Amino acid sequence: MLTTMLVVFSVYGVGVVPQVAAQTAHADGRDGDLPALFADIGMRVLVNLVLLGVALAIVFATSSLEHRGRRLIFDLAIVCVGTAAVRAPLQVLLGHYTFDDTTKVLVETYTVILSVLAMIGAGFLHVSVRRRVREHERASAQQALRAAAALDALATEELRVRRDVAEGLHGTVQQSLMLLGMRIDFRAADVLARNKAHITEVDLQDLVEIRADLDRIREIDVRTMSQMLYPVGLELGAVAALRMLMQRLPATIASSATFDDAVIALEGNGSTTLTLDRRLLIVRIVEEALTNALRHGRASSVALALTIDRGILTVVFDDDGFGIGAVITTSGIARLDERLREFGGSIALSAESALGGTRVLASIPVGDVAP
Amino acid sequence: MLVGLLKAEPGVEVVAVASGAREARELIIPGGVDVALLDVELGDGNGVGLGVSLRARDPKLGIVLLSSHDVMTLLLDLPVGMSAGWSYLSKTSSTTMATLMHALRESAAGGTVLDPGLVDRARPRAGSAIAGLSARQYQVVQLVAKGLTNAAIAERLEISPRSVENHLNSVYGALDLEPNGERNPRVATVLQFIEESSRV
Repeated sequence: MLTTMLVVFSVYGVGVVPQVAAQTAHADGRDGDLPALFADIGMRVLVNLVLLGVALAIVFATSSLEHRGRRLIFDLAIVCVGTAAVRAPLQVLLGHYTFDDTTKVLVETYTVILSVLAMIGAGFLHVSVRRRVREHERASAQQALRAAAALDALATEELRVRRDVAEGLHGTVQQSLMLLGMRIDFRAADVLARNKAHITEVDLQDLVEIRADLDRIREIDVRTMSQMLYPVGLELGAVAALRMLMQRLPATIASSATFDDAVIALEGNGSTTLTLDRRLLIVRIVEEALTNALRHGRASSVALALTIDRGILTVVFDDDGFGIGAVITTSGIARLDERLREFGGSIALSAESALGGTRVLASIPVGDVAP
Repeated sequence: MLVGLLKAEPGVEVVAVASGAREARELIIPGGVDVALLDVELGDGNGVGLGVSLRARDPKLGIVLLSSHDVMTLLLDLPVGMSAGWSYLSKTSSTTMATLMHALRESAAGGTVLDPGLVDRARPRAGSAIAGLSARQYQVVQLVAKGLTNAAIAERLEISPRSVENHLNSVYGALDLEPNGERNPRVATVLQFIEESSRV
């Protein structure tokens, strides 16, 4: 506001003055008198400075009040009239014109009012434009924040739903399938006892297969679906989820799982210091390594080790399977790598495995929660 | 409902009932409770973390964990010296009042009890020391894991208590767990059983 007012003032209050002074001198026949001319210019500039001061004083005095609509016009009128009222006596005092020169006085007053109006008008316009830009920026920033918060809430809700469904599969569905199996057993035994003569080999075989299918669905399919949705024990910490994952490996697979003290302090014994997304990612890494080892590598021995050093958590998974050969990565590992890079981590396969097969080496920064 | 059943048991005094970890920490006074029965799933935390903090305040407190998922591997990372007196029972219909009472009493006395159904379903992992035990030795380990005393094991296997002790000592040797005062070999055996078995 101030800047704009000063700019307009400079144009009129100082810029125009020399021209007016020269014209007056010329009209008075004092063309050659330079010192007098400069003195005259100086006086006029001084007068205009005083007027600026008066205008500013009035603006500041009324600035605490609301500058809106009619109030605004009223304020502007006060400033203009006030300034003009001060200018006229000053001009008379300095001898620039007498009270007889009413036309000249009126013209001067109107000129002042218009110029002060222009000055203040420009000032207000500038302020309003600036305010509009600021508001637009604030609105954009708020919108970005709202979007980020909404995304966060959605991710949390998704995990909650996954967990609920996983629990439902683990509890209700498995229970129902188990009861179904028992009913088949009972009915089969009952029918067999009553109709021994009429039961064929096919009947019996079919029942046995139905029973086996049911068991498979219950113990493998439902469990796998459940784990895919939400790893068992995830809310108990990464160590818990990983130990429980490794525990469910068939007995024919030799396995070991070691976690250093720093990892146990962070995510063992019920501790859950890491963010849920990081914890989930770590479990998914081991799940992927395990699947690759057993399915593709036909491994019979696996070893998992988690360590933390200087704020980086490292996952090392070795197996004694076929090894990766020419394969540098798999689609699952590639996807995990993409996810890990979002956190500043990485994952890679290598043939330098402690068990002679493949090694999966992954790292993820956890420095913001660990030493 | 469980509280009612427990209150009806002879020799049991229900000192406090809490609906979450925070309330549990407030209500359980060190020295005032013999054993705490904790659900692993709590609204404001989990039973393992709660158990560790309660045990830190009261080293004599027994802890019995209840969960619908097999969480006994969580006993493996407990701080050294804190591993005795922790038990785990499955929160399914196969857990009877008798099993629960047994776990509560044993844990209060510093013993370890694992869910008997899960112990039975466990299979020794290939290449492990547990897999190298004889059939009889493995049987003894299973019963120790279920929290039976040597006398109870003797009765169950129909052998003498002396035989049970001998079997156990040979197990300790096979697992490299000589009694040396620092570590309770009985508890260490159960922990190794947990670590080296497959439980689907």
